[in-house]
Amino acid sequence: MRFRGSLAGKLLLWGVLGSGLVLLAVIASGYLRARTLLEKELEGKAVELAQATANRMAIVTEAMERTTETVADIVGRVLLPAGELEDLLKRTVERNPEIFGSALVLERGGVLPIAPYVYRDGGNLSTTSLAGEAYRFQTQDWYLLPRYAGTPQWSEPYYDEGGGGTLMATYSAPLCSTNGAFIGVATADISLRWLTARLSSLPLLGREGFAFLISSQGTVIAHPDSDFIMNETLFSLAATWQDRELAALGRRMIGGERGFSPASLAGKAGWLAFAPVGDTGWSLAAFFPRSELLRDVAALSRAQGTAAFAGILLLLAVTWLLARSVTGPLRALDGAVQALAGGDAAAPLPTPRGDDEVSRLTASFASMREELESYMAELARTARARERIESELRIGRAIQMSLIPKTFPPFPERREFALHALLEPAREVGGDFYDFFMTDEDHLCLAVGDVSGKGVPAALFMAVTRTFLKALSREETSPSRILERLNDELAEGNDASMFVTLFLGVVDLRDGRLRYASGGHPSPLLSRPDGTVTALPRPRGPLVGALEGMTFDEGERLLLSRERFLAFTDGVTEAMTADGELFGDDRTASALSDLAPASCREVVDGLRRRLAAFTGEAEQSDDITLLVFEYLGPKGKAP
Amino acid sequence: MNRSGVALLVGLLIIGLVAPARAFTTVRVALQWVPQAQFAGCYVAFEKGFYLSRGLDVILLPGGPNRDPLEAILDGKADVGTFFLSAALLYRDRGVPLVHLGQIVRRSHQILVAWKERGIETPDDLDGRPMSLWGDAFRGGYLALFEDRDIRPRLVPQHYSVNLFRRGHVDACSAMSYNELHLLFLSGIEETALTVLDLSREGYDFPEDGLYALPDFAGSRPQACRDLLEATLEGWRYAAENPEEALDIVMAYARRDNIPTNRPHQRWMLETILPAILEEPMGVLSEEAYSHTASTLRRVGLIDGAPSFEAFRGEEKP
Repeated sequence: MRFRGSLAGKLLLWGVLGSGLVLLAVIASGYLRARTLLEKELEGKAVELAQATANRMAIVTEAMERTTETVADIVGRVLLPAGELEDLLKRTVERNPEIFGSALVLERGGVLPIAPYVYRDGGNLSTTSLAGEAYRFQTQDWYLLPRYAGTPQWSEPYYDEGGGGTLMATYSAPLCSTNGAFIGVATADISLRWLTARLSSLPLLGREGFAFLISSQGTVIAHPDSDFIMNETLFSLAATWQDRELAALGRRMIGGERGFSPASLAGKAGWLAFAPVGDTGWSLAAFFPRSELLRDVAALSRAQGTAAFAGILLLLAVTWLLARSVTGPLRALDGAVQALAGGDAAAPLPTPRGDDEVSRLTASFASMREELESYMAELARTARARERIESELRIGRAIQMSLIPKTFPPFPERREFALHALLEPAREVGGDFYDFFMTDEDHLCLAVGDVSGKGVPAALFMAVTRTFLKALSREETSPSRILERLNDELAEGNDASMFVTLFLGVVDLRDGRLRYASGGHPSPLLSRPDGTVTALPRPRGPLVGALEGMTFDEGERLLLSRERFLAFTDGVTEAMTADGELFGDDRTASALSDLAPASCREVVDGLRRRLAAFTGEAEQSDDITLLVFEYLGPKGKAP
Repeated sequence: MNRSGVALLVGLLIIGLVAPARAFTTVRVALQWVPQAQFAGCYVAFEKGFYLSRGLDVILLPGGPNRDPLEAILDGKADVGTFFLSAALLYRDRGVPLVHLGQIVRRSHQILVAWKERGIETPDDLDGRPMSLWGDAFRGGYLALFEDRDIRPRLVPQHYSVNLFRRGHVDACSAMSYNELHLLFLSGIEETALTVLDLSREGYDFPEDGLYALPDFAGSRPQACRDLLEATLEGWRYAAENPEEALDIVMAYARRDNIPTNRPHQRWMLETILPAILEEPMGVLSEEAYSHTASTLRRVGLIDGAPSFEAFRGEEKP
């Protein structure tokens, strides 16, 4: 079974594809909806959480800031001896667990600067001086920034080699004397390790979520991955991960914004909530991986997907069974019809079962086959009958054509006249005929007729007519008398009620006198050498052979030398084009006129050609008979 | 190794058929700053054995805020140091007879960066504006620019960071195109926010990193000095062909020394500095660039005078 072409294949394909798509759409939309809801819920919570965490960090940084500024204020106002400065720093560090170390730089005019620094060293406090050649505090940001900015500053995170020996960030405030002049800085350090520990101890973000801290310049200050701290900025990470969106997000963060946005970190998709940390310029970010948040939704979608898959398998099986129940009978029917088309009319059709479309179709095929069989039998009968008729018509034509004289010129030794005739039967056989014969040395008898009916009966009736005509014309010389007797002979015992229309003329060849009679036949046309054409006056006379005892009138006309007449049947004037237009008397007369200079044979041939040209492709509907007689003058006279 | 094998080896040693270990020349090279791609050629030459293959036992001494290569040389802790040409001229003017051994970076990467939003588009806009500027060894080109344009920015000292500028407390700062400029980008600044003036385009294209030694070392070990330059240049060529491997090496040294940096920044640095090193003829200081640098520094009063080109290169007694 070809899968794609078959009905079963299509049912399976479209059924499974359609239902699969619907299920997929349902699951996907459910997933997306749940995700959107979760995301919305997360947004509120996450930003709140980030801000709360940032605020807890800010409590620490703000405490440091206040402490440092207080120290700066005291030292700026009060001229303390060096020893007390150190004590002040020690007390500051001792009382503030978040402070890793604290320094003072004092540069009073004309005196070498002093720079005591107290910091945590294990569990103890150590004291050192940063004023030596080795450290050069003048080059450090924690000194330069407050000095030239004129305001307290958080430094970028740095590794304090020679100072605290740890990763830190420093808050430093400028010291100003009572007259406002810069005289040094006071600082407090926060250890990044302490900061990170603090951050990771905060109640957070599920198992995979985490928080991190960046400076006002994007540098990572605290992060679960210690390799990032100080080395990377959010923008270098964005460059490494080729993530422009992260860079844009970073700009919002260092701009002090609070926000929530989808983001991916190191290729892990999720959401980032961020909030500024007090006045530090830092930004705290909390990352929520999507995988964790959507774990339950994804599990649900997977379960739905599995169920949908099982459902589709079931659907597949059901569709297959259904398709088979439909296409089985269809295939059987298809085979039977193929056999039928191949000519095996007896090929058995499958037995219809039930009352579905397929069994009705089978029944329809069965009745169609029966009708086809009877039609074919009928066709065979008709063909036989038609063959019989056609053979009868062929015989009739043979008889007809054998009866009429076909040799021209018929009397080559006679100089007084010329004669030519044509009989062209329509289809196989018609009822037309013509005849001419000498009744004695000086009289020529001419006849043109049209027997009613066709086929063998018409041909036989014509033969009888001709036989009588020939016999009677030897006994009688008057054409009207001949027709009267012919009429009686034919009418007697005419069971078939056949008749004939007939023109009969007798020419006295000595002087050209034509005597003629007509039995319901069209009048011949008379043509003179100058092209003048007139119809011979038609004497009264009925159809010949229809009723006994009828009388016929007789016409007479003296033919001059080179006068001719054309006798014809209605097959000429009633010749028809395909559009039903008749050739008519006028066209016949004008053709005869045009052909005045031609010989009798040429007149017949010319007329026939004109008729053919006129009717064109149209089938010849009736027999065509033409007979032209031309009187050439008395015997011995030159024409 | 069994007893007869030991005996054989001893015998061979005695009759001198075993070649003595090759004699390596130890060269201690003080780099002027912490490990970064600016010195990628040196670290690559070291790691790929280009020094060893020339018989040099090189020890690379990284610099840093508290490690000055000049001090290391003067204290006898280093034999060779890397310096900007302008720095070397300054030190010579102050009486340190440094001899030029080879020129690594043949062009200047010094730039001036300013905030576009503060209306600074050309050097002239800096007149009267606060600007942070490096110390004497690195400020020659900037001072010449100010003098030639007759502008007087209010100068603030600049050392290892451009954070004063980054935070907007000055309008402009000095920077290296391969370093500070990119650090600004990595701190979230967009390129469009900055006006960048290129000193080399302004006509102050001073060659930068070169190899220098005191005349004692340079005079006594001329071959070692030549080999050192060749091996370093080979290191640079290798770095150019294998940039990621070179970055691996640089990053490893940066991590070893706790230098806060990241790979995108080192990649930027390597890509930016390489063209000025690979420029032919590699390793050569042109007399023209030397004269231009020396005369400019003298003009702005950073130095009183400069040795002849030949004397600078130790080719004649000063």
